[in-house]
Amino acid sequence: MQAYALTAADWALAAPLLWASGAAVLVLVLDALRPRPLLEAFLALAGLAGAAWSCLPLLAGETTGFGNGAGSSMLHATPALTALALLCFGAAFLAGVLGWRNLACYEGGRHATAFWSLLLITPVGMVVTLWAGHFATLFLGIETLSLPLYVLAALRRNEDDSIEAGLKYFLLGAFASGFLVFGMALLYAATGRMDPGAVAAAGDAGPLAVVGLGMLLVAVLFKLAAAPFHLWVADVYQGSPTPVTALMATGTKAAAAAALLRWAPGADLLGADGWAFLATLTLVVANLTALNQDNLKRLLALSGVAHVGILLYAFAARAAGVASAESWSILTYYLVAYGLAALTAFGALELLERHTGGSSDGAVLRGIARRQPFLGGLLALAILSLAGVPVTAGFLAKYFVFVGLLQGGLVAWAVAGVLLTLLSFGYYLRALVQLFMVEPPRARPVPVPEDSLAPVVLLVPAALTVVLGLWPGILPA
Amino acid sequence: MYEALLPLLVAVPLVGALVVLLAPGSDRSRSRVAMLFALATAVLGILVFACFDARQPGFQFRWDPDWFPLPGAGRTHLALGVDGLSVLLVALSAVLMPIVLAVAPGHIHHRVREFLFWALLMAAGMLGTFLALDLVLFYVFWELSLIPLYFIIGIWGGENRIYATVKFVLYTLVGSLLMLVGLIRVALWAGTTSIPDLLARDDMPRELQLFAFFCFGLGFLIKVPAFPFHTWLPDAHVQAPTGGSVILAGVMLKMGTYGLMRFGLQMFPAAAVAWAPWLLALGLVGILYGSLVAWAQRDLKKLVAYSSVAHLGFVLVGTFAFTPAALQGAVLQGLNHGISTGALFLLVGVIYDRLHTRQLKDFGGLARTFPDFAFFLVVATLASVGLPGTNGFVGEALILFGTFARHPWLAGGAALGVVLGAVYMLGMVRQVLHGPVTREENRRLEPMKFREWFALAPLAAAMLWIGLYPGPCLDRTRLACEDLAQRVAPWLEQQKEAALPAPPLTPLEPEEVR
Repeated sequence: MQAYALTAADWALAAPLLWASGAAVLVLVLDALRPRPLLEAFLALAGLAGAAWSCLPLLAGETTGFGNGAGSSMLHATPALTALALLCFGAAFLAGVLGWRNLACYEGGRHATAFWSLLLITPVGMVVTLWAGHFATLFLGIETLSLPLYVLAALRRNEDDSIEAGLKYFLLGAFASGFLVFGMALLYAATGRMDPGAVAAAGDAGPLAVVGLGMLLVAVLFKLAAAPFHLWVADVYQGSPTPVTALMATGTKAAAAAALLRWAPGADLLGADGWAFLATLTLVVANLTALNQDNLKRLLALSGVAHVGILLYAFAARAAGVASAESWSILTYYLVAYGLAALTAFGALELLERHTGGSSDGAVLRGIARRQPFLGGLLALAILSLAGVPVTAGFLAKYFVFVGLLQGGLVAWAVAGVLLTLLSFGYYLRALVQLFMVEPPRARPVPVPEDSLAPVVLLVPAALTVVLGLWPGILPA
Repeated sequence: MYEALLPLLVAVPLVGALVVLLAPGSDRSRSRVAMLFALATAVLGILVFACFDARQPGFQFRWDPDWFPLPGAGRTHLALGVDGLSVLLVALSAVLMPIVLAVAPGHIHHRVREFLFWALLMAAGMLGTFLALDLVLFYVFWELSLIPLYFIIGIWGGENRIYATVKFVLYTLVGSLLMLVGLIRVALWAGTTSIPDLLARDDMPRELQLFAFFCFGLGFLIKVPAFPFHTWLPDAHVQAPTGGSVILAGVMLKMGTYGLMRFGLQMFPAAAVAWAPWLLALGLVGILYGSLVAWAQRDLKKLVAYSSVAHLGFVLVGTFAFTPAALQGAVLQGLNHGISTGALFLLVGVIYDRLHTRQLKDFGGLARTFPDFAFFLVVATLASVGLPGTNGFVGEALILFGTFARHPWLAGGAALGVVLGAVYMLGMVRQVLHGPVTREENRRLEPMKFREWFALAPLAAAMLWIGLYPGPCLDRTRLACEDLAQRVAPWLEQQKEAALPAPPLTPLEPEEVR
């Protein structure tokens, strides 16, 4: 067997992954030798910053690495995928900053090492999923992103909600992984291939391949939280510590959606109307459930499901014949816009929760924007972006999706989507009413940990939401 | 040399909003800074009106930098420009800003910084809506002007403010989201989002025009608001703080009538002709229904709100009568309504700040105890009912003359609305100003403050100025209105010819619409 020599492209692709996972190993080693909480935090954040920094050269063009000699490669990065990779590292960085004063100190800081090392591993899994060019890397990526998240979700091990979140996510996630790997096996059996070509060739490879495609589709739709596979979302997002929720909402969604477009299981299986139906179903279910939500964190979780619905319209547009490059730019812009808004929203919510003793119930948050105008303002900006109000990136994201739908000639689905968007305004407006327009209750102020870093870092996604809403061209297509 | 005028007009209130939000200082100094920005906006608005060349057709003061690429529709531009349809409304929106801020201290007692921020942001949004020469930019400004009012009504409004503000936003959004679908389809068909480019083309298929007119038109009719989409208006007006009401009546509603002219008539003339009978009927119903309901009101602010429904019915009738005179009347009446109804809402605010009631039965005899208020109320009322010598007369007369030429019976029905207007408005004046003073507190009313004079005097002057010398306003709108009538004319002819043998609803261009 010939030794495999690493090329420059291989190193370029591996660098971000090495930065983050290397930092994770260092954190673990440091903890074993001489625990130093501050140094661990610095190491973790530096690792994430380094990973993001080493992603930058990949924005210039397509990079293919780790070829397996059979004409396919294990990792394959395009500028759009790398932009999403940056989003994932950024989300992890923000989650780290948000969790530093709170989550890393849980139970006297006993779980700080676990928090930092898992926080470093999660985005590695996300990025591998994004760049995967082979069933092996796809599976590895999805598992590497999921397993740390199961633990992170249950990190507050003394709280029932957190345990419930972790357990629920783990059980259902394990199921989805089973579907994923079994689908891959069937596809390999039917086509003899393990690269994206396997999925493309499966259409006319007999019933075995079709079953495999369906299982692959179900697994990815589960990770993406599209209806009818969305039932875990509200509980898991609500029960997880808010910084972890921010990472989950942004990164997992980006990785799963990109995988779905890249591997496209069921692109032909469902057809344009099938995808549009799935999208509309997700929107209807999510919006109707969210309309009844009083808890802001739960509401944001369901808003995330509604956004998956709109995102699926982009797949309908692609199935209706909209060019691949265009559907990629629609998808990338949408995921970045949603990710920035979700990071801002969950981040501001985390900081607000510190003033309410950890609760995100509507009754507790009543009128809180009067007491915390800065955080309230950030949350309002994020909610407006999620709702799709112009000048925020959320507006153009929805705009591009509907352009795609109309380009594909799906006028009726576009009208349905637009009217369902209107339904979503029902709960976004109510959230703003609760934050801004009602009198705050008389409550004794809760002692809040000193944290001057998190609000400043939170300004970054908030500012990017506006900048991207005004100049969408700065994102690589 | 005028290229910088329009971007400045949008940028000044926008920068003002950010400065007010971020700068440290007391509420008092912030109010002053906001007022400075508002005054600068007003000066720029008047400058646009003064420098506007009435003899030149098309858009003036164009500003056209590149913005970002759009899938399927080339590139969008940050295009701004002003023509005869928008010049009056631009001046009105700009001039109303310092007026709104001047009366704010009477009723905005808490969260002053936020109020100033939202008010200035709204000014930028409204001005941008009238100035935008690009579909996407228009939509951005259209929605941008909505959110500030949502917060203004929701935070500083009356008892039932949250119901009112959510209803207002949801109603408006139904229309604007459908508009988005129409907008994208038009942009995909033309391959451009530039409004002047779209207006230069006359080959838009009739089927697409009908679809787009429906999508755009619904949004505009809700905003106007035309009967039966008007139910959000009384709620929003009654709950809004004075400044919010003034902006809502003065400018927000004009965004609807402006949109109907700019898009409904100018961009989709074939569809406008097809839908015209329905819209004329809605306009007439609005006039009569609004007047009758206003007559029945016991709450002063509700009465003024319903009178808006009636006045905007006139604008709707004038718009879809398609004669140059009626169109000019409709454009002018848009300005007039902003001035006179704006003044009426200010006066409601003036009296409410003192007596904390708006019920007509609680007033009476105010002519003796509050003479300066009485003077302004009479002037505004006479302008609102269209007494010759005031601005309302010029607008209503033009609409009625112009409509009579084509639809004599309709003009007759609308004229009935003028009579009804006199009935309820003069009845209101009698109840408020004349008769015995029934309540003790009505005897000890504080005279009007300087800031209230500052707000009302320019509006009263404008009513008389336009009433006595409408030339400058009418000259500036003439070419644009003639152009509108010309665009519609061939379709009217076709409809007349086609009406003889068979119903005319066949697509004229078989070309496939994507």
